[in-house]
Amino acid sequence: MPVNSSRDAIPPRRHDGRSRRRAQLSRRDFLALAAAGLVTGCSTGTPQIPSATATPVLTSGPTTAAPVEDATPTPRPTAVPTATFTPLPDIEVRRPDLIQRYPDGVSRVVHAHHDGAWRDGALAPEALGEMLASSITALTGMDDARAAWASLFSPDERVAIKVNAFRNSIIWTHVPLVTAVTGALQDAGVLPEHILIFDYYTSELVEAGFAVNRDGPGVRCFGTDADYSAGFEVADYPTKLSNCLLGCHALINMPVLKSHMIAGLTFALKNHYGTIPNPEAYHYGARMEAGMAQLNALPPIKDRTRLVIGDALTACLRYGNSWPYWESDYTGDAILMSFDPVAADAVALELLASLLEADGGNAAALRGMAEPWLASSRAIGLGTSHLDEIDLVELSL
Amino acid sequence: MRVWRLALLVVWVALVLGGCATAAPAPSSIEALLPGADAVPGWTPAADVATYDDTTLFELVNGQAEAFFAYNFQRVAVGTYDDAAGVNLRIEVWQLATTDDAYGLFTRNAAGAAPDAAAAVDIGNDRDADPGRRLAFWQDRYYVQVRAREPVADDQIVAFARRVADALPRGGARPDLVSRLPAEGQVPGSLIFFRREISIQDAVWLGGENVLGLDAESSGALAQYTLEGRPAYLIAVQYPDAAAAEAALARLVAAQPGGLIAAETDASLLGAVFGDVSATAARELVRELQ
Repeated sequence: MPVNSSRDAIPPRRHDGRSRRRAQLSRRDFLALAAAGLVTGCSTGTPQIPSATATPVLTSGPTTAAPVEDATPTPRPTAVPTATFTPLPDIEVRRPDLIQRYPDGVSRVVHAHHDGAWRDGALAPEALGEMLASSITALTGMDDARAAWASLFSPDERVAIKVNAFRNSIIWTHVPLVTAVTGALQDAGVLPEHILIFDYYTSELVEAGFAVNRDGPGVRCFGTDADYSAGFEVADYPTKLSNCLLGCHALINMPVLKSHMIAGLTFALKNHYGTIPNPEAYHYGARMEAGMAQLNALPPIKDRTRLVIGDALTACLRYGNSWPYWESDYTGDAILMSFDPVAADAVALELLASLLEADGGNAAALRGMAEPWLASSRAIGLGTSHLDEIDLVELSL
Repeated sequence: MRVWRLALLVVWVALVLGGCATAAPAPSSIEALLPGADAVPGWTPAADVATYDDTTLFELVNGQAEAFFAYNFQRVAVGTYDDAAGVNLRIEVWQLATTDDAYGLFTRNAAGAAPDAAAAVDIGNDRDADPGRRLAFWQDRYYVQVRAREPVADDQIVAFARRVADALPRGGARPDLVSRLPAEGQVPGSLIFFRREISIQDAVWLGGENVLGLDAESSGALAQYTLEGRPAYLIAVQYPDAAAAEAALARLVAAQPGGLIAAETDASLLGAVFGDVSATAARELVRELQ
């Protein structure tokens, strides 16, 4: 497993040269695979039980999106733990010492590739597990992946996972990757019912292949819909925050790599436009420049964010101008992991730009549009966008 | 005398109303432009027609609404249809302020894989198509897209498009500016008629500060050319007067956007070439503007 620590920009990776209208999987195939992958991971009647002995990596197994399973039987609870995910007004949000990022420490970004990420057109769960395990150990500096997850997430905590299941898009955070993350959390001791996968609307999650589970056994999965709490202000404009987020102690931000006609890039920071009900208020000029940073600096978001796990298993290099505005035009084999959402975005921007340029496109606009909000984010101490301040770790599996 | 005046007034009103009705029957509502049940055999509406205006467009195209505001968006109607096999087909009818806006949005969105096949279909003023998936056209001040999520027989897509076209007012001509760009060396399908920088920024990044000074009285066209074996972009902007063109040229030169090779004005027209080509070739292309 070669490991290179580099402060250089990411070089272009393998590229299939497809046009934006040629996705690798048909929507029907994707949804079928995704649904299969979530059958047990998100909505079955059999809760996944955390194990004290398992690693988060699967043995070789099916190529479809099976959840991370544990080979060691563990006693199962007789009742489904309750987790209402209602706002926790007196919540004590902790920040594990392990989390280091600019300006208090060095911001590290792990960029992990796996040659076996795709197999026969489907994501390989075992490869995803290996990518997550290698990334979390590289990020934390710990030797054991399960211990690293456990050091970040306690069994008594509720963990929200913000995915990107945007309705104007047909490229979403991949269900098998999310399933692998929920499996790793459970292996670390987090109860499945304390994990909530969420986005803006429940219907979007369904469209993106996630199986809804509001209150049954297993990992919970539903959208904010209209369930927000008011009282927040971003860029001198009022907004609300999702109670899916406010009902949790910790947050994992799981965006997918896409270009954007106004922001240039949509990845970690912009993923939280799906955590508020009025994203349209922050899509223009100065309000985007300040809004992107200030939204992510709101304490309920900033303090809960334990990890960014970015999905670059596919990407949208060229946004569309008619529906669907984003679809896969690149098939990749990588994920990005960081404690610093700004650093994750800075690295993601370089990755996106290099891929676009390798495909004959002009990335000047992407960089030009992203630079102001990245700079704003760094200026308020949310993280760093300067590549020379980022410890970039490249992993090839 | 009073009777004659009244008769003349009646005749005048009848002529005016009759003339208007013949030239461009205005749709009673944008929802009515979408085909109803059984308009195309085998397809039924999957949901009520949804409409959006400039205050609600973000609900339909959150994150991309600016692309439509750049062409003076007024409203849009969206209808979805299912066949017996569960295949879903979606129709969007976009109403813009002018025929130029409709043409511009059409050019901005044109990315079809089969321009020849699209050209052979007698619907609208210009067409763009991906066989089995999509047909788009513009007519009068409307831009229409019919799109299937899964492959559908082209004749079904065409049937839906024709239903919409028949319900739309006729008319609309390409803006004069478009014809001023030289045809020789122009990459087919690359032309974009625009009103704001955002419509061309993925081809040419000008900094997002409106250095061209585009406003309601100006408009532009961009096309890709092959010069010296390499890609280059020609931008032409028509201003209301020479002073506005000169001012824009001064701002553009001062901004020094990446890739700018040559820029000149000719009366109220500004031309600029971007790319990795020689200054000589770039200047020649600018001077070929009609």
